[in-house]
Amino acid sequence: MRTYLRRRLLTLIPVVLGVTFAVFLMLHLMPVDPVMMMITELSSGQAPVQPHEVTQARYNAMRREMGLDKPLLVQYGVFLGKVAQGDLGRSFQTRRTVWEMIASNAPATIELAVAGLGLAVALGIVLGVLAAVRQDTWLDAGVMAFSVTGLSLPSFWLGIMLILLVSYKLGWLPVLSEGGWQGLVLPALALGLRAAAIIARLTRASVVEIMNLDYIRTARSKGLPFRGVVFKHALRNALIPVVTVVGLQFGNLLSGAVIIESVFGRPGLGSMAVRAILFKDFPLVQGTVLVLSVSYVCVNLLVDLSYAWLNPQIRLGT
Amino acid sequence: MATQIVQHVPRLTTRGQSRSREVIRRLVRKPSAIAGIVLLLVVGLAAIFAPSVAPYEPDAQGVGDPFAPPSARFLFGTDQFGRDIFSRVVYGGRISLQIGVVAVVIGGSVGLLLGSLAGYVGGWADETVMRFIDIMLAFPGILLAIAVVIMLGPSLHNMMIAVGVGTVPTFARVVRASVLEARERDYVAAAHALGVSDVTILARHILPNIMAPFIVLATLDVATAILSGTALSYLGMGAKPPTSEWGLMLSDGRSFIRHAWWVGTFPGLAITVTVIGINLLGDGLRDALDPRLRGTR
Repeated sequence: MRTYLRRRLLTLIPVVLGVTFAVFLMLHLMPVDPVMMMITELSSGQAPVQPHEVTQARYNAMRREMGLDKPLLVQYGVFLGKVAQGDLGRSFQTRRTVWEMIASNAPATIELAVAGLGLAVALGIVLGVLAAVRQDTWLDAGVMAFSVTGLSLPSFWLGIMLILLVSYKLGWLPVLSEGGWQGLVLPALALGLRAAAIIARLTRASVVEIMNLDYIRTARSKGLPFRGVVFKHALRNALIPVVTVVGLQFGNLLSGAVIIESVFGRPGLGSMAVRAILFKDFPLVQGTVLVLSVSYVCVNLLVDLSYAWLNPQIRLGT
Repeated sequence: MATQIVQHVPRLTTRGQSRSREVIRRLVRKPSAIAGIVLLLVVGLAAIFAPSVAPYEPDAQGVGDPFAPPSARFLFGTDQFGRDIFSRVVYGGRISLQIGVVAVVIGGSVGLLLGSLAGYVGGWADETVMRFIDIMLAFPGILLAIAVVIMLGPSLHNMMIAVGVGTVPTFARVVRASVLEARERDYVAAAHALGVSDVTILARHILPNIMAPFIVLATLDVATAILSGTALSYLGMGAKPPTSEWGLMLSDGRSFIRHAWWVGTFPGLAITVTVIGINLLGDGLRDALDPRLRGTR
């Protein structure tokens, strides 16, 4: 396990470096001039500066100040150094530090993603197991139909439809997130349904496969009750591959929150990123993309480790 | 020996034909696959014959009162500018199907190239490509497409490229795994022994043999690409008004959902029906082409 852990941590380094490099390059590949942007945006609050009013001397000075006159790799080194110290720059719009903005918006997004994942896991595993133990019945067909539909529904449309039906027509739940858990139900459902569909499919396939194995047949032929066999014997092994997918889905839910937060008007990293993109607030965009992808990489690492821990072949290094 | 191999070619083609006939036979035996094909035919034909199917010009304003509810005259009602939503949904199919196909062609070609390079050449090429893919995979879900759109600037064309780039990692991984497996087969060793060049081995012997998983993935990815594309347009990073694009129409619909439910309902229904059609066909193709792939998604 320790060798595995060391190897897995080592593969993480190039990926994290690559991600930081890609995010760093974003600023250089964008279709706007960051120097000009910085000069004109910095003036907000004071007398606005138009691009044609910017003198070459001021432009060059800002370019130097931003470090954009140095070779690309040197710039990357500086960027990496700053990132390591938690310095992601300042937002053009609010002038607050990007780190501060991310920290204040992250809890709402994590709350939504966790709620979405919880819902997806509960719904997905229950439906998957039901479909597997009632294989080739109408229940199985129903779960599979749910799965295809869940995979095909655009989450943002599902969100809009939930608002229309549950909030406006039936008046059961509030549209906005104010009001505690009630406000979280609809966004979590809109966000988690796709993951639920994927988990249901995989759980069904996994349980069906395990139920055909010899040790299950032995357990059943010993006269153990069917329910006990499913829950005590089959599910424990069948859920190992499901754990991996659940972990991978968490990352997708984090990025899916970008859309769902906009649909429900919820605060969070997603709606903040969308606003930042539309207002060309590039430091904020860069910072959010970096934080989201690095957290995704870390979640994946945890998933891999838990998978290794669950799987004795890797855990015991055989 | 070379002649013997050449003599084998016609026989292989015959076998190939009977195999595709077998695949079609297996496909049409699945009711869900048939349902998928029917749904896709409806959407596809409506999109192709949009000028005949749509009763009004998609962008024509004031063909009815603003926010007219669905009726015999306006099947799906009208939007805030009095445009016929049914006509816009029909024309929108052209754009969304185009997004799906173009994105998959881009992602599939790049993925095929990278995957074959990694799988066939191996060694440093494999390491480099796979680390590159790992970095792409570090941007979860739609985030990679968003990052690419930011770099290229928001527009319909750039959105297609961005969505295409987003599909590259899965294509590359699937192709690499299949090439790795095919590379070890006897027929590849035989071709090597005959002095056939690597490019020829890859193009004529390996790639045709890994097409099954590739076709399945490409079909299913058209669905994912349509979902990502409409999502980007919904967020204002794709098609621009007044284009009749489903995601953009949904974005309008969100604003008026309380008073005019039809504005946002029908474009979303169109996306769902199209994507269900593609997913059902993709699942059917997977079972028909390669049963081993069952449960991989």
